[in-house]
Amino acid sequence: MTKRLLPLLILGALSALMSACGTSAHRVDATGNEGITTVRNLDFKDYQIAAEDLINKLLSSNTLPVANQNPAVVMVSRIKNSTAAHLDTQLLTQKITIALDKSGQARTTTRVYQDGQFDPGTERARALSEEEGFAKDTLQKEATLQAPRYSLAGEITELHRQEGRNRESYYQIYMTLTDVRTGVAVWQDAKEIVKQEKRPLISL
Amino acid sequence: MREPVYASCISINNRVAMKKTLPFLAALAILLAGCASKQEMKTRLILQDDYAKDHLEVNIEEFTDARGMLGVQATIRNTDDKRAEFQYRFRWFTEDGQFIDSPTATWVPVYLEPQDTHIAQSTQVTKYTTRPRLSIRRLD
Repeated sequence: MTKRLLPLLILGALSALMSACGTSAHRVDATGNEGITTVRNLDFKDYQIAAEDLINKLLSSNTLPVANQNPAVVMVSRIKNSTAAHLDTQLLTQKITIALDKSGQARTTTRVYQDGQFDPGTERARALSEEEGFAKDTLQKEATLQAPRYSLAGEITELHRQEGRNRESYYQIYMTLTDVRTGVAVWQDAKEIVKQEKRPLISL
Repeated sequence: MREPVYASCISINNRVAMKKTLPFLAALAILLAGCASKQEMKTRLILQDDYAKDHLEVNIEEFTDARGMLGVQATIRNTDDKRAEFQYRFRWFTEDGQFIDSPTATWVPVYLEPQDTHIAQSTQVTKYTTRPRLSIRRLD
């Protein structure tokens, strides 16, 4: 009987031990550095660090008009993902457009976005003139949409290296602001992020 | 066409006097406008723990760019003979102490070799935020 129970007891003790190693789910400060850091991908902190740096560079670049004096209209174009990983580049671009908006130097068009539109509400609302029941003075007139003056685009590239148990990832987040009247980039800058890890001899 | 009311009120003598005083008034207006647009900035440095106080030397410079936007540049030096690992955050407040949130108000980790310096910069979030605060603490 004891012989039969012994494996079960060991298994029970092991599972209890393994579950004790974990921590219960908890929230962390989203602006802090307590989030999970991985080497083979960009983590939320990496987007925050890149956005913080690029926003300050763009705002101090003297590219955009003076705050609150006829803010420029910016469209978000494509952030090319040249990495093997799936990246949500909006985590970067949305931070930049939020900061531009707050600064008063630019406003973001949601009607022109990448290859389409970010907010289909504009098109939907403008098509209401074809529907019945709407007061004429509340309907939008023709040709009142503001075309963007600048386009925000970029590219994320990566390099991975491994030597023995050491792994390293290098990311470059490159961004441009193009004057759509000329097609010339009036601002461009990049943020580099390097992450390393030494893998344990034995890992689960 | 009817003359505007303000023009009809000005006599010829007044116009001569006006010609003389106009440059003076214009200069005064420019001076006053210059005074009004100049924003006074006060950066507050907060070293949140003993690590930052004991191992880092911080030099703050405030600047105004060509368009009148305010900015802060902090030169942080690792005075220790070991690698420093710390984090900093810029937050911008209005004159009344109201915090205006921004994606730039995030803790930025820094890894600094002995005696090396890191330059951190931040530009004001809106033109109303003239009270930046720089917080520095150990990176856990």
